[in-house]
Amino acid sequence: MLKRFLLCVFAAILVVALRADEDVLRPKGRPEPSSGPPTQGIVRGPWALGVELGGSLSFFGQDVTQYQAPTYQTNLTSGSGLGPLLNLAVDYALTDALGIQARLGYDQKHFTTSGYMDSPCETPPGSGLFIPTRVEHTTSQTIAYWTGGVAFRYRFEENWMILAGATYHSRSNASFTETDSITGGTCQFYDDAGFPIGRRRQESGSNTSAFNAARWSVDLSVGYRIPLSENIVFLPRLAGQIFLNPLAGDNLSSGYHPVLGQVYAFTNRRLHALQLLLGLWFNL
Amino acid sequence: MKRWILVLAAALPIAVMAQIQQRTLRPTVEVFPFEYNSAADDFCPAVTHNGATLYFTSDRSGEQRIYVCRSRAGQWLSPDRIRTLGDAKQIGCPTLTPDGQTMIFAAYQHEAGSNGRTDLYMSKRSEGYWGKGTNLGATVNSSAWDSQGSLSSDGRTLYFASDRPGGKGGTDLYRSRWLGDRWSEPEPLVELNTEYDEITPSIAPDDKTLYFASNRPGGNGGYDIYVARLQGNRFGQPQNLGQPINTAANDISYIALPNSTTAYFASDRSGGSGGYDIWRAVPNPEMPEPVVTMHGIVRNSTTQIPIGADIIITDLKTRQKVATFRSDDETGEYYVTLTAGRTYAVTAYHPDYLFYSEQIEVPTGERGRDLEKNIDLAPIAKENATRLLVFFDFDKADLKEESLPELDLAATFLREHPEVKVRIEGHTDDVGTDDYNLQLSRRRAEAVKKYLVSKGIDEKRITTVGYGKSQPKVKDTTPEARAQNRRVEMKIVAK
Repeated sequence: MLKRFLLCVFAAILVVALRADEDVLRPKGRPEPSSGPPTQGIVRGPWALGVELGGSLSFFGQDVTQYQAPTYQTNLTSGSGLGPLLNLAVDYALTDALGIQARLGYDQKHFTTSGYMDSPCETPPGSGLFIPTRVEHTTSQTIAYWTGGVAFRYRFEENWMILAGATYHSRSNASFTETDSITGGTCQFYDDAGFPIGRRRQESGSNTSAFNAARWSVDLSVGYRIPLSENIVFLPRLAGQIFLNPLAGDNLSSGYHPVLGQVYAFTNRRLHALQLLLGLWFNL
Repeated sequence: MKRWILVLAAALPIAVMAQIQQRTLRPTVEVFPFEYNSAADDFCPAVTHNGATLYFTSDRSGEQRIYVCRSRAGQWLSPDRIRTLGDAKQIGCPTLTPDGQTMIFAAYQHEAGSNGRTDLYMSKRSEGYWGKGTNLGATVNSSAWDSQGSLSSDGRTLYFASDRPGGKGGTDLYRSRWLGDRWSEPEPLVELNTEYDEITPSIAPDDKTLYFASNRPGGNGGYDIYVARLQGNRFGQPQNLGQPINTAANDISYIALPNSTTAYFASDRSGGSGGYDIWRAVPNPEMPEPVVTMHGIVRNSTTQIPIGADIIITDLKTRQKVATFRSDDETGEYYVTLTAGRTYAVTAYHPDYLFYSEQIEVPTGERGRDLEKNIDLAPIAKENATRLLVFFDFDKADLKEESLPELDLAATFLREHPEVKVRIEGHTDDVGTDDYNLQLSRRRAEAVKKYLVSKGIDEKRITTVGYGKSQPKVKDTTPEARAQNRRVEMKIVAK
């Protein structure tokens, strides 16, 4: 009952707050914000403060060089995944159409790569009979960054705008999860003591130092402003993020076998992203 | 075949010439943003007829208020907010008499009270400041929204917008006339109003061309600006001003300056500073008819200090006061718009000075002329004189009817200054014998005295003398000089 009463009070306050008084130009007051005239900045005045929440769809890629017998790493050339991001931004309108933005944020890049190989498996154990068994390998990577960037905004239509700028990414931490799964036959994995542990094994941990500590990206985005009130605008934005330096250095040692030598190497390790952000902007 | 080639050869240059002529007749209109637009709404421009002062409305402070820019060397100086019009939630959309001394503005919740919602108020300029507005009253203002007034060049017709009941729908245009002591009941402009909104009426200096904005179908989107011309007592079919004046955005508040190719309007189109902005259009694609204007400075004849004096324009034929203005208290400047084909008496009056009158004839067909006439008022002191604008038939001493407004003013002056004694002096030109001119000038001076006495002035305060042609004002024999020398003056002989 109390909840309903409070809701009614809130609704009444909202109606009163949004109701526009008449003035010397408009007998019914200002029109609804959505059909209102263009504004100078994103909201109304030249300064605006924005909070953006969204997701980064990361696209990972690397070159894999196979030196010895095939491994599942051969297949780990690309992957993608979705991570959350949060921005706090300030916009200043230089002219009616042109503005400049500065933003600070937290951006988590996530991607998953997977590959497989047919590995010989003694079936049944101790029989001396080996049959090829398919093993799926999945690596899930999460790298978090603190970000800071600047961008120029150009409003080319009343509510449409494009932004172009650069963002600096400072690595915060990174973690990984590797999963192997046997998808066919009767083989299992065994622990170091020789006991079977099932057809799936997983390993997690931190590998922060495996990635470059600083990265630069060029950001291009398009946004559409939807005024919610005279001083608040909802602004969804779709951004493309092209990174100028690699995600990590070349990895030439992880595939080194004491007998076989170099088995495989990862080079040109890159990650770009597509971002969808939902922003609320407030007139300052 | 040869004939067809000849026909084509003749048609081609004709077509080219027609195209060139069409382009010449329809010059490209360019629009420029006003340099002092803000991110907020800036609208309702109003320029004094001499183009020296631009008023506009802006809510840059968070409330709608009137701002003023003055012109110096063709540039607008930065705007100042007018703070003396009284307290109100919203104040704006001013319209001014051509002399810039009287303003009608709109206000919402003005301290002077209202008849309902937004009302129209009037303010007078005095000592360089605008006075607090007074409500125009319940005849003009309704319980509904009444705003966006526009005064005719004689200040006697008021156009405005209102959403009062009884219109065609939305906001409609209305007209009210000054009846000498009150405004008439507003009449809707039924020929222009539609079920949609009609707003921001603006009557041009020719008093015939009306600009307004409407969101009726068929425009470029939002509000568009239309022009309609007065035909008798009704306006003709309104015409859309077209691009680039009108756009898909809202285009409103169009004003034209007298004898100028410049127009101002407001628009919330992109490319401005935000919200509604004021724009300048050159050339005005729908110019009003050129008008005859007169301007000058009213000064103390002794010290040359500017004086704020009442200026009365009287149509000498109808003896009707067609306009009453006031020169600026600070600068002494005045500005009036005159209609061609009429003869006026222009009289400057201040209670501390001898009044001054002059006949101004505006020939039929006169267009686009700006007359400059400085007026020097003599202080009320012994031996100071003023020429009375009185008329006699040739060779007669009978006052013509067009003399009476001037003599009524002289009578008023003498009533207001009972300590003053005057001598009426008659003068003639150099045509005729001395004796004849002496007698004629005496009889004419006597005729003036007789009229003043008939208006209740004690005859002991008035003496008369005839000088004939002995004291010419201009020693010349040209028609202009003779016209100046034929005169009756009123000189103060005791105070």
